[in-house]
This record gives sequence, C-alpha cells and structure tokens, in this order.
Amino acid sequence: MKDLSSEAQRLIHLARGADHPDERAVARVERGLATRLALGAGAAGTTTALAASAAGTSAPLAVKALVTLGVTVGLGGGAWLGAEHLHVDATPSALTTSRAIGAQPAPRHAPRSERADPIPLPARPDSTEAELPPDAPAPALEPAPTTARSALGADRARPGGSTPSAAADPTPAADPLHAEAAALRAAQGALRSGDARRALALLDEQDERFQHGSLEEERAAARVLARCQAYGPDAVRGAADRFEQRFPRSALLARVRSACRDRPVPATQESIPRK
Amino acid sequence: MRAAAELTLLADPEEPSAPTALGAGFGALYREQFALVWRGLRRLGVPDAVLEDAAQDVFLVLHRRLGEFEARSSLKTWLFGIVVRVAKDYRRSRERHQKRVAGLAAELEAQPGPVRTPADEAERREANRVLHAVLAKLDDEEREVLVLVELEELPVRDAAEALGIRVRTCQRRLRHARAAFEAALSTHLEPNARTS
Repeated sequence: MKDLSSEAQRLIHLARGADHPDERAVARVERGLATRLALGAGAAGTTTALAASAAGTSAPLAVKALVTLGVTVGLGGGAWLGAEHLHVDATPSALTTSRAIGAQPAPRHAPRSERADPIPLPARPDSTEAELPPDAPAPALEPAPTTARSALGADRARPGGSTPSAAADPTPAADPLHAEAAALRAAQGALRSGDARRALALLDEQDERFQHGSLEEERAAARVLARCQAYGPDAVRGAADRFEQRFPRSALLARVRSACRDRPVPATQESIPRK
Repeated sequence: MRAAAELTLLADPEEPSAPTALGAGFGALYREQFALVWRGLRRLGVPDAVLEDAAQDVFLVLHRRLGEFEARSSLKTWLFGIVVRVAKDYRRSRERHQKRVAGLAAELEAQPGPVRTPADEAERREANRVLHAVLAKLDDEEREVLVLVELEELPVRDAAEALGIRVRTCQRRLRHARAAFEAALSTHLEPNARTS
C-alpha cells in the first residue's frame, strides 16, 4: 500500500504530540462525569456487572473491576431516576454539572439544549450499532432497562439487597459536593428499596442541611418521584408543574414529567398519609 | 493481555491510587485514557464547543460497557471504537442542527496563527492547525481511518476492529484516505505558498 508522502508524514509526525487537553478540561469533565454517574446515567452497566457477579458466572476480569468501581463511584444512585428515559441528553452536561458543582462553566461551551441532537444511550433503529457486523467489538450504545421497575428489580437482585449509601461511599467527604451527592444517593437508595417515605424524610433533611447546596434541582426531581411512588401519579401532577416553574430549563424535566406516567398506584397508597 | 492486567490492577483495593471524583479505580482509568479520548474526538471532527460533553459521553459509555470488555482487542482499540461512534453522533447532530455554523475547515483556517513561542512549539502548533484544517476536508470514513492508523498508529487490523469493518475494507479506505489527505494538503498549502 502506498505510504504518505514525506511532507504529509512530517506534518503528521509534528502534529502527533499536539492536541493535549489542559488539566482544567480534564478536571471539568471528570466532575461532570462523576455527577452524571452519581445521578444514575451509568446505572445500567453497573447493575449488569453486579448481577453477573451475583450470579457467580465466570465474569471477565473487567467485571471484577467494575464491581469494585460500582461501589466506589456510588452508582445505581439514580437507576430509578428516569431509567425509562435513560438518555445522555437528560443528564447534566459538562456545562450544567459545572454549574452544579459551583465551578465556572467553560465559556466556550454552548448549553446542551443549543447543541445538536443528543447522544442517545439506548440503541436506536438508525444508530450506527445497526450497521455493525456481528463480530464487531460492539462498544456502541446499550439499551437502558426498559422500565424503572426492571432497573429496580435488577438492583434488588444484589446480594443482601443493599444499595450504595453514604456510608459505603469512600469518596472524600470533605468535598461538599461529594457529601451532598452521597446524601442524595442515600435517598435514592431508600426509594429503590421501596421506602418512599424514608426517601422523602431524607430529602427533607437534606434540604435543610444543604440549603445552599448544588443539587437542589436534583433533590426536587427526586422528591417528585418519591411522592409518585408513595402517593401515586395523581398526587404528583401538581408537583411536576411546580418543579417546571422552579426549574423551567431543567434537564430533568422530561424525566419528572414522564416518571409516573405508567406507574401503577402503589398498594400502600391508602395507608400512607398524604402530606 | 496488558489491558486485562490494567483493569485487574485498577480493581485492586490494595493498590494505592489518587482519589478522584470518580473513585480510585475508574478515576485512574479516566486519567490514563483522557488524552487519547480528547485528541481522538478532536481529530475526528467534534467541535471544541462540545468537546467536553463528547468526552463525558465516551467515558459514560466506557463505564457502562466496561463489564463487557474481554481483552479480545487492546483497551486502546476498544476505546477507539467508542470514540469513533460518539464522534460520529456528534458530527451527525451538528450536520442536522447546526447547518448555520460555518464548516470546521473555515473555522480553523480563520484562526490566528501561532503566538510567539519557542520555535519547535510554534512549528508543532502550526502543524496541528494545518492537520485539523486538512482533516476537516476529508469525508468521515477517510478521516476515521486516517486518524486511527496514521495519527494513533493503530495497526490496520486493530483499526478495522475499532471501526467494525473488514480488514480489506479498512485497507481500501486507508488507501483512499491517504490520497484524499495528500490532495487536501496540497490544496491547503498552495494558496498559502502563493501569499507567503
């Protein structure tokens, strides 16, 4: 095969070492990614790995790695938070998460809403995945659990049914965002385990504890979903409207609106006093 | 294989590692691979304005799919498969919704030249600027294979795997990509030569 000319090779040789990200970009993306993972965007993969581990299958080494990582990152935190619509666009972008953690947003970033179409994690009929040959390495996009209930079920399949909690999260608690995110995950854990009242109590507590926190919007969304689970969809419609009034440009709005659409009224609805 | 060993090491709780917002294990993987992801996305035509979002998406997919990595290929090859697909989605998105935005080639060509720096650094920056301008003139398939083989120095076989195509198809694309690159480079340099 004919090689490139010496001029082209020289250009490539010179440019090969360029395009290094600066440390600020590395840190910004890392924080944004951590927040997205904490909010559940990576939950599907984690539950898969954990389920494989729990089933005692001869999981690849990477699965073992991920079991550790799953606890470290505190994932599964948001499996319920819109697993029906698990979609990158519905999670905070680098910009929104920069805002969430109180960092200066990158000025050259356009808000995700202004950016083009989202990158959908679930496979789409027109996605490139469909074009892949059967033996392709298949790192392409994976469907999320089809329902919040299935995500919940997968999570419950974990040994002991435990969920990541603040206590299990080894991330440095000295960072206020870590503490706030860990607390939010605890509320999510309560909700996943079916204890919506406890989730609501935890969220109340967190509203007081983190009055000027970074995850107020995420807590408000969690509250709507907790109320949905506790009281049924009818009780949530007003709450969803209020959420929209408070956070009209929230990336979580679609999740909040659709969260309870198909969820059956819980059997315990009548026994739970309405607030 | 090296990649599997890396992952095992990352999972070892005894292994000291700097704590990060992602946790020690995945955080270490993130730090180690970030530059590769970043430059891959950039060279594959993801605009600077959404580069950080695209990088997040790559690592999000990586996190979700890590359990499926069986070291059939190297971690770099596997990761590039993700990078190529995310970059493609971003490019498609841009084409659909940002037609009003000028093409990347024009944008890059309009950038000011390198600032005064030591000579070798200036030369590298200028080379990179020209490289991006030329890459932007290639079609997606040509750019992808050229970036993987010529810039990232993946063997053709690995590039084919990352792109999900046959080796022979990859070789054919590479041949066309090299020819297109040479032509675009000549076109780019000619007017500059006339003005200098």
